[in-house]
Amino acid sequence: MEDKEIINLYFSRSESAISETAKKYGTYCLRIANNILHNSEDSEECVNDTYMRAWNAIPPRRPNRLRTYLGKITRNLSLNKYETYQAQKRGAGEVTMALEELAECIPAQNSVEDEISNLTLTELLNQFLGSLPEEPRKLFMRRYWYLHSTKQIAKDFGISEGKVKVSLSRSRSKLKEFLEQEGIVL
Amino acid sequence: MKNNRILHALGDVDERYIEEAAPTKKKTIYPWGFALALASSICLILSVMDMLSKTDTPIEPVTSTSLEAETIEPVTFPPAQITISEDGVTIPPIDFSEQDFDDKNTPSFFIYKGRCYILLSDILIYDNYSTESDARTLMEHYVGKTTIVDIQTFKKQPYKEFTGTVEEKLYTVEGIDSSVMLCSLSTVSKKSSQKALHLWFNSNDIKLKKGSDLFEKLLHIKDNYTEVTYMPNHAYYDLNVSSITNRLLGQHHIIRIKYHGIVNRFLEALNNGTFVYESDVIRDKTNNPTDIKKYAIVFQLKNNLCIPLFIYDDGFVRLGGSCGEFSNLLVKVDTEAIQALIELFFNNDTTTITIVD
Repeated sequence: MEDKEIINLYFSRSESAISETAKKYGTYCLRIANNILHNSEDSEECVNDTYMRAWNAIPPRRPNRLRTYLGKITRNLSLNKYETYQAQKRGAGEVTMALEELAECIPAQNSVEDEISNLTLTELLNQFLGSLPEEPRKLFMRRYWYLHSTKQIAKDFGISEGKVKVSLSRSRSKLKEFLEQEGIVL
Repeated sequence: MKNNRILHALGDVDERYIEEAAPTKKKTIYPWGFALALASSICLILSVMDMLSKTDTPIEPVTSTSLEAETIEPVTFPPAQITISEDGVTIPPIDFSEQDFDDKNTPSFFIYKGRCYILLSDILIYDNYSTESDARTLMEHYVGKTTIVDIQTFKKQPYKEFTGTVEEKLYTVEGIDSSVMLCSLSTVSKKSSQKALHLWFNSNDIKLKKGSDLFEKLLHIKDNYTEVTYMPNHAYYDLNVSSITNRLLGQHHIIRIKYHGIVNRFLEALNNGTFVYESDVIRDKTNNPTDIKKYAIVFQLKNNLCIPLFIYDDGFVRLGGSCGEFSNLLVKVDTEAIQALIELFFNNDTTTITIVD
């Protein structure tokens, strides 16, 4: 079923909107959740919550791309759940590793500047991503948006894991430099 | 955790970056796959030869165009970057110079005369209206007297003047400038006889500082509303466009109030309120967004146009049905005016229809 038809089902409050969404994008969402949570039960819960969020938000919203829209919700819900768990216990996993890697990007504290809003940070990240060449950008997003392991990324892109790590490391350095130039304090 | 902030902020980056990095499904190649493919090809060739021998019907050649058509990626609706300054909120015109559009995609907007009309709301209509005159009658019933804007005229415009998937005829809405709003009537899907009335709102190239810039100067609510309706709390999850249709068709429990002092005071507060971008607002109940209660009221105007508003009990109002960047705009309204309205409407347990003149 086309996205437009699925969205029309949401607009007409037909419950088959959920089942059609699950049929088309369930696996996609489940992969995103599972990459973050590494627990099928929790992942399924997040995906079900994603459907509920979509049900409550559409209408009035009419996503331009249903897949990305659902993916964003799943990612946010999964990260929130992950953080709740992390508050209780520390564990390994792609999120922990990604967070440690991203810590490199944080510029040194500058007491003069005000703390920036999340909105500004997202805008800056958009600018930064726009400045990257296509392949490093894809690798960066696959690692830090989809939270895939470097091994998995190397396999998917048909390159060595070492090349993935080098590319990510360069992108992180560029991000740090970019944020510093913008005078960002996180 | 500061690195958490990057991870979270990354979640909202431009959709095109998310899409281009999305994992793709890979075909699993089985050892016997090649033999199977070869056998299939032979069968296919034999079938085609058999068909050619039985019929004179020409076979459509497979062209590179038809192959490419299957791999076209949907375009991204270009977000208009909202800027906020002391002068208020500015939604600039969208720059289409570097956009490559395909009118099969992104159904929720179109461009006309350099203005971008986004879908404000759908009203689903369950009856089957098959003729043009039926449709006109229906439109006049819901939106007032309408004027047809010939879509063919739109299509003669240069390509960038028209995009999106509005295939149906467009109508102007009585009492609302066509540079602000247009409407259309369409069939929901090929399999359904349902019709949908679409309201299209131009939210680009406008500047909004106070609530009156939208609700008064563009939509003319205060002097033109004939009644205000709302959904009781228990109908919260039914609050959607089809419920509005039910309300119009008299199938939904509703309370109507006309020209009530509290409503007028609320409108004054709304007009005096200032626009803010939702992400920039630190709300009192941020830790648990579900603590913020959302209510919906609908202002019906003299031309039968319904303007839905979402009212948040922490002092914000949003135009219901809005989408795109526009849906992230709130008006900060005097909390007392909002509380009085909530008290009048939603804390009232009555289930009977009340009309207050």
